[in-house]
Amino acid sequence: MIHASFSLPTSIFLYSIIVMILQYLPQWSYAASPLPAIACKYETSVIQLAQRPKRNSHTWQFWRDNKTVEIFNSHTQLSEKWMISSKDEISYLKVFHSHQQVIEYYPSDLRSLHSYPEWEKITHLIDVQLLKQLKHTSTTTLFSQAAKVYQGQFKGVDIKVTWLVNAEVPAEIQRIYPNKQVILTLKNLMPLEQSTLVRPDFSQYNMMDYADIGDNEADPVLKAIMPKHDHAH
Amino acid sequence: MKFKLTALSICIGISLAVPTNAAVETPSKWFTEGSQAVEQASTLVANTGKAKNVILFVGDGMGISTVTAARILEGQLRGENGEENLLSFEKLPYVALSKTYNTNQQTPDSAGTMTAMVSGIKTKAGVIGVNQHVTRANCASMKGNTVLTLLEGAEELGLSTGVVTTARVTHATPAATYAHSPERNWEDDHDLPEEAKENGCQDIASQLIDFSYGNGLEVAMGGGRRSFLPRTEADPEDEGKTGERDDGRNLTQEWVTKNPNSTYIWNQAEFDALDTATTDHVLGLFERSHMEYEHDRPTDTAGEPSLSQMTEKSLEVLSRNEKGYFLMVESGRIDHGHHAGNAYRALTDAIEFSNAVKMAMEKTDPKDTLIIVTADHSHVFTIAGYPTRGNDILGKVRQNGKDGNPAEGFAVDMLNLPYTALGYANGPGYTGASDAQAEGSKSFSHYPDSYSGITQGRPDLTNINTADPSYLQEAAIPLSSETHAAEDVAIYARGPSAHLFHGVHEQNYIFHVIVDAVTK
Repeated sequence: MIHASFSLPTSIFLYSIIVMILQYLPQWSYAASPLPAIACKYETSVIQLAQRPKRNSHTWQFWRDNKTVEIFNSHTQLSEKWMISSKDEISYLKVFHSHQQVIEYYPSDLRSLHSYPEWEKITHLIDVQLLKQLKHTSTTTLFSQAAKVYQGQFKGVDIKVTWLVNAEVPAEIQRIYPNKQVILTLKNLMPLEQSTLVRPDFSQYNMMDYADIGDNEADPVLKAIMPKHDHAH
Repeated sequence: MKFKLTALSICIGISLAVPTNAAVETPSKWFTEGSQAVEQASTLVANTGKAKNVILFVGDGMGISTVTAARILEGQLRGENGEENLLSFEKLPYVALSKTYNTNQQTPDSAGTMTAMVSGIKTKAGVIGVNQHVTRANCASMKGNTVLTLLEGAEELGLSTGVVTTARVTHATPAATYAHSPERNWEDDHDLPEEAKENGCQDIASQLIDFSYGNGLEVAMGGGRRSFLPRTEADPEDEGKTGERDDGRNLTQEWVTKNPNSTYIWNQAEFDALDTATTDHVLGLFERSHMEYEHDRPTDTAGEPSLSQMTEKSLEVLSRNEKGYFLMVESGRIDHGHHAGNAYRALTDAIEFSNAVKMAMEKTDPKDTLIIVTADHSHVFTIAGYPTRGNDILGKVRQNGKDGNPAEGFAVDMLNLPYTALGYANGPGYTGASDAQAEGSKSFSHYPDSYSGITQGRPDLTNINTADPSYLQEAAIPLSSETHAAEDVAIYARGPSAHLFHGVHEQNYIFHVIVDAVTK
């Protein structure tokens, strides 16, 4: 987003120039930069710090290949699926299993909502740039590969990340807030082709474009699901 | 002589230096133009002849505030103040208001409103081509309650017919011209519930292909490819995606098989190559779902035509029929831009809609072609504050000072913060804090589990580019999607029977004017 005040014609002119220039620059493509295809099982725990600490945990699954990332949370019965095209256009599905409903976001829908999903963050489950702001404190071995431990503070929150170098996903993320701790723990990691994790099939669910939600707000399924949407990873 | 030449040169230079778009505004100019406008209006003569051709333009969600803002934006994009501009259809001589409510909803939807316009009766929200006795999403209740559409009637009269849209061709507005369904969302067979299948209801896409009036539609262009292809067939444009039909039918192939001298096209190259002189039936499905917003169209993967390009080619095909034609053209995504709280995309689509109307105005004769431009419903979109003349319509408000001249700096609210002229009464632009995002301007994905409300006041827009194409204007009430609005929309018209648009009408009146024009 441009943080400056330009007149409208100037804004349009600058935008057009930028688009024209970008078309002729060598294109580095996320879609063409392969990551290991993996399937993971994670556990997210929230520990409320009080006189009697309370811990809530749930597990979720993560599948990643070169062009898709899929997450299934059995606790909330929600799935999310991101897809990237060869032109680095990202589309997104939100799946509500208990209602057998899928909401599909096309790239233009995301842009119209001022959303520019970061493929690197989606595929790595964390902003990799964050690691550069933390201190590498040690290296160990986890899941048969090197794991680097990073620690530090980010936006006022103490963070510890144990990063799997080959798989390029975290083995653990600890975030320490004033009144709680949030811990993400990798429970299981396997190559995608050897995955035993069952991926929900939603091919027969009702599909609706995000663009059509506004015309269907009386739909009882939409009424039930619309307040229950996602969270940042 | 030399002095005179020098003076003449100076005068010419001064006149050339005056921006061509900014005629000097003087009291005399206003008075003269007002007087001239009355003189011109006095010469209006009602065209009581018969309409050979009818073109119905529908700006989906294009309420009057949208028209005003788009008018200003179009002018400002040319470097003008904007307020004095007119969109193409605002120059049509006859104007009226249309009451848009559905029989069961104060604020309507596109399905019931379009049914009113093309079938002559008001009906419920969410249903197409059926009357108000139908129960929504109940197939059995359709029996005996379908209503004829203008397109069906035109085909019966031997006219050529066409449907053009930037939405899916199976979406409510275009669907109402050729289909009948108690549920607007039954766009392909995958959407049909068991009750619908058991009672013989047909999905909307197959109704387009199986259309049995006259010799069938000559033109159908828009998006919605997925409802015409089976699940076993890969989409030609969107990687990893397929069609959605469960019955295995490939309706694009059936279109070509069923219609002589026909073609199916799905990208810009094929559109450009279309021979309108020899092609009798054209099916164009340029996206798997809706077509791109006009702003995003240049970056489309396979390329797709604009609304005005589609209108032009459609007219070339349809005008070959000596008996005449009926064409419906919809700008389907003005509505979507507003639902997303994104005024830029709504308004730039409205400008392209004006371009399409301009194309039709230039290519047709008002003596025999009735052109009607209207909207199905409005949106909760406002232009507010007291911005000075020529204020950037997408920008923050600059007011006038006590002397009536633009003041320094932005106007501020009671929190001492600047604000935009454009806003929404509800929608995703709500700036209160949620459990997902902090207070302030939001970005996707903005579907929180809860809001904690506004605790620190509005965001400071001082250094925010509110003219950015993806800026979401602020909304007063948090909703995941901005809503339609209940106020009247405008009807603009020229041609045979256009003079019958003269006051405040029920929306279904539009159908009856068209019938009057065509059946004289």
